[in-house]
Order: sequence, then structure tokens, then C-alpha cells
Amino acid sequence: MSNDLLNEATGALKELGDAPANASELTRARVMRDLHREHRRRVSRTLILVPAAAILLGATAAAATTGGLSGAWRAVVSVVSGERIGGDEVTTSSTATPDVRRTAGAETNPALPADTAAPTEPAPEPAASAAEESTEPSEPVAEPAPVAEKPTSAGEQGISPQGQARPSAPAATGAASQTAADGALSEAEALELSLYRKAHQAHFNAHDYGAALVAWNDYIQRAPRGRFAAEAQYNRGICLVRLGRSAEAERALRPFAEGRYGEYRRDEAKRLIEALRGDAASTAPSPGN
Amino acid sequence: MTLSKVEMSLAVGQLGRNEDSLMERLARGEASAVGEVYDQHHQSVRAFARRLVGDEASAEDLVHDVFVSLPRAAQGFRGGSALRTFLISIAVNHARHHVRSAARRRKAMDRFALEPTDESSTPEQAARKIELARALSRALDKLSVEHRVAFVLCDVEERSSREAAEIAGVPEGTVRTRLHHARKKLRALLEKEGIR
Repeated sequence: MSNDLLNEATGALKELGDAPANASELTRARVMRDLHREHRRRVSRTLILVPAAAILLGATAAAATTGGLSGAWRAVVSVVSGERIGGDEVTTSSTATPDVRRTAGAETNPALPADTAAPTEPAPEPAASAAEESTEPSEPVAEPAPVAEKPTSAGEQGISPQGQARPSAPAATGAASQTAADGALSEAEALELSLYRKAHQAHFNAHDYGAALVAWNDYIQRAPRGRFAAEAQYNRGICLVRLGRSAEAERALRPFAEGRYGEYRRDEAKRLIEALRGDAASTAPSPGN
Repeated sequence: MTLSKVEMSLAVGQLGRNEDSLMERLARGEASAVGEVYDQHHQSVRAFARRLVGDEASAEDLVHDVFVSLPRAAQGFRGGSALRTFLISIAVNHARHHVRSAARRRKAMDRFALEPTDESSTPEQAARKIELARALSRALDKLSVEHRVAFVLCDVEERSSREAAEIAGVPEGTVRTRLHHARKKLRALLEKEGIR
């Protein structure tokens, strides 16, 4: 009995996995939203850490120049290790004196490790992370209109085709996303997703390229800086190809072929444009006829 | 106007995406690359997740976690396996938490005796399948995650032990051993449930 029953139950469980799921698009939206949010967090961290590191570096350099570095360092070590420092030891530099006097009587901070790195040490890490961050695609770079100005980070290796979620300033964007931190989509995000879903359905499920073209145009018009703006532009170009509107298709695909969206769809766009031109040449009437 | 060249380019562009450049874009954290991978592979990841955790909500959460963590995981990807296999291995790595939450949810549902939705034209067959699937999911809850993964990969998804070993990151012999023990324990648990 057991083998048959286990096999039967296994088959039933397999069918469970094969059953259609309705949540795929919502999950996709959650994934893209969280990726976007994580990227914004990293950028924000860099924007705070880099100036802080620069200030620390500058202050350390200034202290070293004025001779107050050793006194300041001793004060830091004393705070970290919980030792009291005598006033004479630390009042060697006028610039360091006020902070040192404050910390001389400070209680041990249990949160600080005893072997806190030297003031100069933290500098490389923020710089390294800044360098790392600078290779990441910056946010508001992709211009949805093909005839618009080139994205500012065109020279970087990876331009994110994800445009800014909001046309407003980054600070406002950050604030808007913070208020949506409870997980609910904002009205604008929901509208954008709805527009994208409609176009995606027409294009990839129904293969109705006429309807898809209208829907992609709608998305681009109403969410020009939406997260999927670049994809919408590219898919619009594909619709035009499918509908035989070659000249318009070439105009739509040219920005991708020219690398205005970085490597995103660049090779595919180039191949398509070449194929379109090849077809146009082969169907042109020959001079003798 | 013939579209043969164009159609070919479209096919090449759509079907023959260079996985290497896609992985590079993923490692750089390009959200559009994640979107592309999602569109191509979400169904197989979801199917595995549903079979593994046995609960739709937990399965969706697992799918979400797989794709959100993909850029970071892609940085450590050294090739040697297909992208789909790589995604399943990420799901395995993230499975533990979701298996537990699904098991908790299942206990709660059983307690309140929620009736399943019957969408089949043969109610008895549908009910039987649902009963068996749920019984097996309950039994799987009693296995370790490692044994559960081995069973789902090999018996439910019918993957070879070699492929399952690659996904789970263990030797093939280990997968076979785990599968053997999983089957033995599951048979005993199903008998104990009194399922006929």
C-alpha cells in the first residue's frame, strides 16, 4: 500500500505546483519595489558616509598638521577603553581641548569596542564603498523619450533603465517611499503597475501588438519616469516591428542601439535595425522594373 | 514585406538571450535584469516553491526572496549550471524560514478546518488529490529541510539525483541517502495518518 499511496500523494503534490498562480504579477511588483528601495538605501548611505569620511579625514589631517592629533587620539582611546585621562595629558592643543575635556570625564561606552580603529582607518572603507557605488547605475538617468537628452551616466557600465519612480526631487521620492514603508503600494505606484500589467498582458500573453502598442504608449505618457519606462520604450519598438511599421520601429529602437540605455537591449536593437534595413532593401523595387 | 530576417532577430533576441551578459547585469544590480529573469523563470521557481512549502502564500514569499536576493547571489555565481538551476538553489537556501511559516499556517488551517476550493469537475477525485497533497505536506513538515528538499527535488519534481545534488550543494550520494530516509519516513507518516 505504502508505495502506491506515497506515489499517489507525490503526484498530487506535483499538481499543486503546476496549478496556475494568480500572484505572479504582484510578486514581481514587490520584487522590483524592494530592489529599488534597497538601491535607494545604498545611495543614501553613501551620500552620508562619504561626506562624513571626508570631514573626518580633513579633521584628522588638520589635527596632524597642528600637532593636536596625538592628544586627540589619546582622548579617543581613553574614551574607548574607559580610562580617565588627566587634564595635563590632553590639553596639548587648543583645537583638541574642548572635546578632550568633555570626553575626559565620560563614562565608558559599552557599545564601543576596546580596539576601535584609528581615525585614519575608516577612510578607505567609505571611499571603497563610494567607488563601488559609483559604478552602480544612478537612479534618475534614463530618459524615456528617445529624442530627449542623453542620460548623464551614459559612460558608466550599467545604466539602470529604471527611471525615477517619481518626477519630483529625490528627497521627496525618498520621503514618499518612506511613508509607504508599511508595504502598501502608493496610488501612483499602483497606477503605474496597472498600466504596465495591461501592456504586458496584451504584448506577451495575448500577442495583440496593436493593443499592446496603445498600452505601452499609455504607460510612457502617464509614467514617463516609471520603473519600467525603458522596457516600455523597447517593447513599444517591438510592437512597431511586429506591425510592420519599420520606419517608426527603427526610430524607437535607435536609442537602444546607440547605447543611450547602456548595454540594455543594445545588441538586440542593433540586430533588429539591421534586419529592418535589410528587409527594406530586399523589397525595394529594382531599377529595371 | 517578408519578415524572415526580422523574425529571426526577434527570436534570437527573445529566446537566445546571452545568459552570461545577463548574469553580469544581475551582478551589477540592474533591476531590469532581475525583471527579465523573473519573466523567464518565475513559473518554475514558483512551482518548486509551492511543492516545497505546500502553501501558496509562503511560496510567493519564497519566490520574492529568491529574486530580491538574486543580484547579490549572482556576484558569487561561477557558471557551470543553468540559470534556472541556480535560481532553484537560491530557493533551497532561503527555504527554511518559509517551510516553518507554512507549517505553522497549515496547523492553524487544520485547526479551523478550512475547506479547500474545489475546482475540479470530479469532486471526489479533486477532494482526494487535495487530501493527499495536504497529508503529504503535513508529513513533509516532520522532515528536516534537507530531507524535504531532496524528496521534492527528486520525487516531486523528478530531477536526477545529480541535478538535485548540484542544487542542494551536496554530493550525489548524500542526496540519495536523504531521499531514501525521506521516503521511508513519509510512508510511515502517511500510514499513521490513516490515509487509504
